[in-house]
Amino acid sequence: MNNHKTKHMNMDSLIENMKQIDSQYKKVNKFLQIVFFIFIFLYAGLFLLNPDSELTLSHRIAGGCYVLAFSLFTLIFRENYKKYKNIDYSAAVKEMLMDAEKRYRFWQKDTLKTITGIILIDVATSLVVIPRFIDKWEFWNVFLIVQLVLTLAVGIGFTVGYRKWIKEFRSLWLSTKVLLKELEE
Amino acid sequence: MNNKEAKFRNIIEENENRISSICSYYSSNEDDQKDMQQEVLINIWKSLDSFRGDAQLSTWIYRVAVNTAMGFANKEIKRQKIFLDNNEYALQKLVDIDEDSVQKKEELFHALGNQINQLSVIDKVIMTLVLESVNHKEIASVIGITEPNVRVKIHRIKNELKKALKSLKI
Repeated sequence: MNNHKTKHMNMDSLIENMKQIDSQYKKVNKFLQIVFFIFIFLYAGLFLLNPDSELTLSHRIAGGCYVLAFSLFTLIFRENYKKYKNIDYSAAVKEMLMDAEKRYRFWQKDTLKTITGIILIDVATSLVVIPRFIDKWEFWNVFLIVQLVLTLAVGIGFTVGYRKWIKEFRSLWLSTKVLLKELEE
Repeated sequence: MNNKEAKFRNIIEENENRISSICSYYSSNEDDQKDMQQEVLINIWKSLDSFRGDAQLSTWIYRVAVNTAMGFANKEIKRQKIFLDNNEYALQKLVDIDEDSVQKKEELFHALGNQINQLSVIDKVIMTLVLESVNHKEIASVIGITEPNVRVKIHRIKNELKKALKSLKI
């Protein structure tokens, strides 16, 4: 062996630290789940359960879309969180690399779910906003403005996400691909 | 003391030397080695639930240590450098030393260290396991490739090292 010196560790404080890490994970997970659930219940309350007679069928459908979209985002968050929290360091190096390659790709399986969520938000917002302005403006004008604003917001989100991926994950993703290729040689 | 804690203490007590030794290849000084050991222990704790005894405990420990050294959790997979102690025993495993002069041996060792660091990341990891006297079957299980593939890789790496040392005329 390279170095036979045994460096004894302070096990008690180490275990204490690790228990703290475990409970911190649980706390963060719980907190974010509560935030998402608040959104779901808030929108369900405002658009679906609200007995206000002024709420039309469009509003109810919009509410359903919002609730579905937030539920989808909650699901995506939970899956991602689990994926990052449960990195299994005891897997074989090749398996670890294959997982990392999938985890750090730009286009993920989740992308489809995210796009579905965005479409639901788009439908819901259109259903809420268009009837408000239909008396003053042409339908297509309002529709296009809503689409423009949402596309702009999604575009900004996409650009920020892509730049973040380039900065933080692209090199890691490329390294995993190189190493996997090396293993197959 | 709960079950997880007892299991963890037991594993660490039995494998402290193994963890310490494998970490020493990946860090140049004692402080860094200690940091890496801590990181390995944290990852052992995190992965403890997945240990069902399918693999040997030593293989499991090596996997956690190597994966930690490669920095899978970080934003960049490390282009790890390998650090070798001036350890003749380790050196003998890689190349035949037919040299009595202490100075020559040191030169050879230094050159070997440099050559190992020219290897690819995976080859370096394989070499650390060879230096740890891990058998081919276990190396295959740590890396996730077949045993014959491990043998071929080790043979090729050793040949590359020998050739490089010869060309340096040491």
